[in-house]
Amino acid sequence: MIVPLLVLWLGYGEHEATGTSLAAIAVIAALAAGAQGAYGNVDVGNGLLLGAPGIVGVAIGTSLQQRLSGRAISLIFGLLLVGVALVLLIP
Amino acid sequence: MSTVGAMVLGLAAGVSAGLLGIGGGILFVPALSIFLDKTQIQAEATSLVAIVPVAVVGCWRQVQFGNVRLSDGLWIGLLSPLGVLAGVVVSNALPQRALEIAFAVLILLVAYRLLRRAIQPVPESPRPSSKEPSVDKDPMSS
Repeated sequence: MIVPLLVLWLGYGEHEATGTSLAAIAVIAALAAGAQGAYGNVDVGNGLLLGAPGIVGVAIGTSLQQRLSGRAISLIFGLLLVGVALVLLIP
Repeated sequence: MSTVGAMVLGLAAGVSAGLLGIGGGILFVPALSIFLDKTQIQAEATSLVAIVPVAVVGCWRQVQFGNVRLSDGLWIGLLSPLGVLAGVVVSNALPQRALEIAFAVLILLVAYRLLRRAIQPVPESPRPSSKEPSVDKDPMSS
Protein backbone atom coordinates (compact mmCIF):
# COMPACT_ATOMS: atom_id res chain seq x y z
CA MET A 1 0.00 0.00 0.00
CA ILE A 2 3.01 2.32 -0.02
CA VAL A 3 2.89 2.99 -3.76
CA PRO A 4 -0.75 4.20 -3.92
CA LEU A 5 -0.13 6.30 -0.82
CA LEU A 6 2.83 8.04 -2.44
CA VAL A 7 1.02 8.49 -5.77
CA LEU A 8 -2.44 9.53 -4.56
CA TRP A 9 -1.54 11.51 -1.43
CA LEU A 10 1.97 12.79 -1.91
CA GLY A 11 1.92 13.47 -5.64
CA TYR A 12 4.76 11.13 -6.61
CA GLY A 13 5.05 9.90 -10.17
CA GLU A 14 4.49 6.16 -10.43
CA HIS A 15 8.13 5.32 -11.20
CA GLU A 16 9.39 7.36 -8.24
CA ALA A 17 6.74 5.87 -5.98
CA THR A 18 7.69 2.29 -6.81
CA GLY A 19 11.43 2.97 -6.39
CA THR A 20 10.94 4.76 -3.09
CA SER A 21 8.57 2.03 -1.93
CA LEU A 22 11.30 -0.58 -2.46
CA ALA A 23 13.63 1.40 -0.17
CA ALA A 24 10.94 1.42 2.53
CA ILE A 25 10.16 -2.26 2.04
CA ALA A 26 13.83 -3.21 2.40
CA VAL A 27 13.87 -1.56 5.84
CA ILE A 28 10.47 -2.95 6.91
CA ALA A 29 11.26 -6.49 5.78
CA ALA A 30 14.69 -6.44 7.45
CA LEU A 31 13.17 -5.29 10.78
CA ALA A 32 10.34 -7.82 10.53
CA ALA A 33 12.68 -10.66 9.53
CA GLY A 34 14.77 -9.95 12.62
CA ALA A 35 11.69 -10.02 14.84
CA GLN A 36 10.31 -13.22 13.25
CA GLY A 37 13.74 -14.80 13.44
CA ALA A 38 13.68 -14.31 17.19
CA TYR A 39 10.50 -16.43 17.29
CA GLY A 40 12.14 -19.16 15.21
CA ASN A 41 9.68 -18.90 12.31
CA VAL A 42 12.27 -18.05 9.67
CA ASP A 43 13.85 -20.63 7.36
CA VAL A 44 16.81 -18.71 5.98
CA GLY A 45 17.76 -21.41 3.45
CA ASN A 46 14.33 -21.55 1.83
CA GLY A 47 14.05 -17.78 1.97
CA LEU A 48 17.25 -17.44 -0.03
CA LEU A 49 16.12 -20.22 -2.37
CA LEU A 50 13.29 -17.90 -3.40
CA GLY A 51 15.25 -14.68 -2.97
CA ALA A 52 17.89 -15.73 -5.53
CA PRO A 53 15.48 -16.04 -8.50
CA GLY A 54 13.64 -13.08 -7.01
CA ILE A 55 16.74 -10.91 -7.46
CA VAL A 56 16.91 -11.91 -11.13
CA GLY A 57 13.21 -11.16 -11.41
CA VAL A 58 13.44 -7.73 -9.82
CA ALA A 59 16.26 -6.76 -12.20
CA ILE A 60 14.01 -7.77 -15.10
CA GLY A 61 10.96 -6.07 -13.57
CA THR A 62 12.67 -2.74 -12.95
CA SER A 63 14.04 -2.72 -16.52
CA LEU A 64 10.63 -3.56 -17.98
CA GLN A 65 9.09 -0.82 -15.88
CA GLN A 66 11.22 1.87 -17.53
CA ARG A 67 9.40 1.10 -20.79
CA LEU A 68 5.99 1.61 -19.21
CA SER A 69 4.16 4.89 -18.69
CA GLY A 70 3.13 5.92 -15.21
CA ARG A 71 -0.48 5.39 -16.28
CA ALA A 72 0.22 1.79 -17.21
CA ILE A 73 1.75 1.17 -13.78
CA SER A 74 -1.33 2.67 -12.08
CA LEU A 75 -3.54 0.48 -14.27
CA ILE A 76 -1.70 -2.75 -13.40
CA PHE A 77 -1.57 -1.80 -9.71
CA GLY A 78 -5.28 -0.98 -9.65
CA LEU A 79 -6.18 -4.31 -11.26
CA LEU A 80 -3.96 -6.17 -8.77
CA LEU A 81 -5.76 -4.46 -5.87
CA VAL A 82 -9.16 -5.42 -7.31
CA GLY A 83 -7.94 -9.02 -7.46
CA VAL A 84 -6.73 -8.95 -3.85
CA ALA A 85 -10.03 -7.40 -2.71
CA LEU A 86 -11.99 -10.18 -4.44
CA VAL A 87 -9.85 -12.84 -2.78
CA LEU A 88 -10.55 -11.22 0.60
CA LEU A 89 -14.29 -10.87 -0.02
CA ILE A 90 -14.87 -14.41 -1.27
CA PRO A 91 -15.36 -16.40 1.93
CA MET B 1 10.07 -30.50 -8.86
CA SER B 2 8.63 -28.56 -5.95
CA THR B 3 11.92 -26.68 -5.68
CA VAL B 4 11.66 -25.70 -9.34
CA GLY B 5 8.06 -24.57 -8.87
CA ALA B 6 9.04 -22.48 -5.86
CA MET B 7 11.90 -20.87 -7.77
CA VAL B 8 9.67 -20.06 -10.75
CA LEU B 9 7.22 -18.33 -8.40
CA GLY B 10 10.20 -16.59 -6.79
CA LEU B 11 11.24 -15.24 -10.18
CA ALA B 12 7.69 -14.05 -10.85
CA ALA B 13 7.58 -12.43 -7.41
CA GLY B 14 10.76 -10.53 -8.26
CA VAL B 15 9.37 -9.32 -11.58
CA SER B 16 6.20 -8.06 -9.89
CA ALA B 17 8.29 -6.41 -7.16
CA GLY B 18 10.29 -4.54 -9.79
CA LEU B 19 7.28 -3.59 -11.88
CA LEU B 20 5.06 -2.42 -9.05
CA GLY B 21 7.33 -1.53 -6.13
CA ILE B 22 5.84 -4.23 -3.89
CA GLY B 23 7.70 -6.73 -1.74
CA GLY B 24 6.58 -9.77 -3.68
CA GLY B 25 5.18 -11.53 -0.61
CA ILE B 26 1.96 -11.95 -2.56
CA LEU B 27 3.79 -14.69 -4.50
CA PHE B 28 6.61 -15.63 -2.10
CA VAL B 29 4.14 -16.68 0.62
CA PRO B 30 2.11 -19.08 -1.57
CA ALA B 31 5.37 -20.43 -3.05
CA LEU B 32 6.52 -21.34 0.46
CA SER B 33 3.22 -22.81 1.61
CA ILE B 34 2.40 -24.71 -1.60
CA PHE B 35 5.81 -25.96 -2.74
CA LEU B 36 7.87 -25.99 0.44
CA ASP B 37 5.24 -27.15 2.96
CA LYS B 38 5.42 -24.16 5.28
CA THR B 39 2.60 -23.20 7.61
CA GLN B 40 1.10 -19.74 7.03
CA ILE B 41 3.14 -18.11 9.81
CA GLN B 42 6.37 -19.82 8.70
CA ALA B 43 5.70 -18.83 5.07
CA GLU B 44 5.08 -15.20 5.97
CA ALA B 45 8.17 -15.06 8.20
CA THR B 46 10.41 -16.82 5.67
CA SER B 47 9.15 -14.67 2.79
CA LEU B 48 10.77 -11.70 4.58
CA VAL B 49 14.19 -13.28 3.99
CA ALA B 50 13.45 -13.34 0.26
CA ILE B 51 11.95 -9.84 0.24
CA VAL B 52 14.99 -8.12 1.79
CA PRO B 53 17.51 -8.86 -1.01
CA VAL B 54 14.85 -8.38 -3.70
CA ALA B 55 13.90 -4.96 -2.33
CA VAL B 56 17.54 -3.93 -1.89
CA VAL B 57 18.49 -4.91 -5.45
CA GLY B 58 15.28 -3.40 -6.88
CA CYS B 59 15.90 -0.17 -4.98
CA TRP B 60 19.51 -0.07 -6.16
CA ARG B 61 18.36 -0.49 -9.78
CA GLN B 62 15.75 2.25 -9.36
CA VAL B 63 18.40 4.56 -7.89
CA GLN B 64 20.31 4.09 -11.15
CA PHE B 65 17.16 5.02 -13.07
CA GLY B 66 16.71 8.11 -10.88
CA ASN B 67 13.44 6.88 -9.37
CA VAL B 68 14.20 6.81 -5.63
CA ARG B 69 13.76 9.50 -2.98
CA LEU B 70 15.98 7.60 -0.60
CA SER B 71 15.47 9.58 2.60
CA ASP B 72 11.66 9.48 2.15
CA GLY B 73 11.80 5.73 1.64
CA LEU B 74 14.01 5.10 4.65
CA TRP B 75 11.80 7.27 6.86
CA ILE B 76 8.67 5.43 5.74
CA GLY B 77 10.43 2.16 6.48
CA LEU B 78 11.56 3.23 9.94
CA LEU B 79 8.19 4.71 10.94
CA SER B 80 6.05 1.86 9.66
CA PRO B 81 6.53 -0.30 12.79
CA LEU B 82 4.41 2.33 14.59
CA GLY B 83 1.64 1.63 12.10
CA VAL B 84 2.10 -2.07 12.69
CA LEU B 85 1.63 -1.57 16.44
CA ALA B 86 -1.59 0.36 15.83
CA GLY B 87 -2.71 -2.37 13.43
CA VAL B 88 -2.11 -5.07 16.04
CA VAL B 89 -4.29 -3.20 18.56
CA VAL B 90 -7.11 -2.75 16.03
CA SER B 91 -6.89 -6.28 14.68
CA ASN B 92 -7.22 -7.77 18.13
CA ALA B 93 -10.29 -5.64 18.82
CA LEU B 94 -12.26 -6.66 15.72
CA PRO B 95 -13.45 -10.01 14.34
CA GLN B 96 -11.42 -11.50 11.48
CA ARG B 97 -14.24 -11.29 8.92
CA ALA B 98 -14.90 -7.61 9.69
CA LEU B 99 -11.21 -6.88 9.16
CA GLU B 100 -11.18 -8.70 5.83
CA ILE B 101 -14.22 -6.80 4.58
CA ALA B 102 -12.94 -3.45 5.83
CA PHE B 103 -9.56 -4.00 4.19
CA ALA B 104 -11.20 -5.15 0.94
CA VAL B 105 -13.36 -2.00 0.84
CA LEU B 106 -10.32 0.16 1.54
CA ILE B 107 -8.25 -1.34 -1.27
CA LEU B 108 -11.22 -1.17 -3.68
CA LEU B 109 -11.41 2.58 -3.01
CA VAL B 110 -7.68 2.90 -3.66
CA ALA B 111 -8.01 0.74 -6.79
CA TYR B 112 -10.82 2.96 -8.07
CA ARG B 113 -8.68 6.06 -7.71
CA LEU B 114 -5.66 4.42 -9.36
CA LEU B 115 -7.76 3.13 -12.27
CA ARG B 116 -9.43 6.51 -12.72
CA ARG B 117 -5.98 8.08 -12.81
CA ALA B 118 -4.84 5.49 -15.33
CA ILE B 119 -7.60 6.38 -17.82
CA GLN B 120 -7.48 10.15 -17.38
CA PRO B 121 -6.66 11.87 -20.68
CA VAL B 122 -4.45 14.45 -18.94
CA PRO B 123 -0.88 14.44 -20.27
CA GLU B 124 1.74 12.55 -18.33
CA SER B 125 3.82 14.59 -15.92
CA PRO B 126 7.20 15.04 -17.56
CA ARG B 127 9.69 12.23 -17.08
CA PRO B 128 13.34 12.55 -17.97
CA SER B 129 13.41 11.85 -21.70
CA SER B 130 15.60 12.54 -24.66
CA LYS B 131 12.75 13.86 -26.80
CA GLU B 132 13.38 17.24 -28.34
CA PRO B 133 11.02 20.04 -27.43
CA SER B 134 7.95 19.97 -29.66
CA VAL B 135 8.04 22.48 -32.50
CA ASP B 136 5.03 24.65 -33.12
CA LYS B 137 3.70 23.51 -36.46
CA ASP B 138 0.81 25.96 -36.65
CA PRO B 139 0.82 27.21 -40.27
CA MET B 140 -1.00 30.40 -39.28
CA SER B 141 1.88 31.56 -37.11
CA SER B 142 4.45 31.82 -39.86
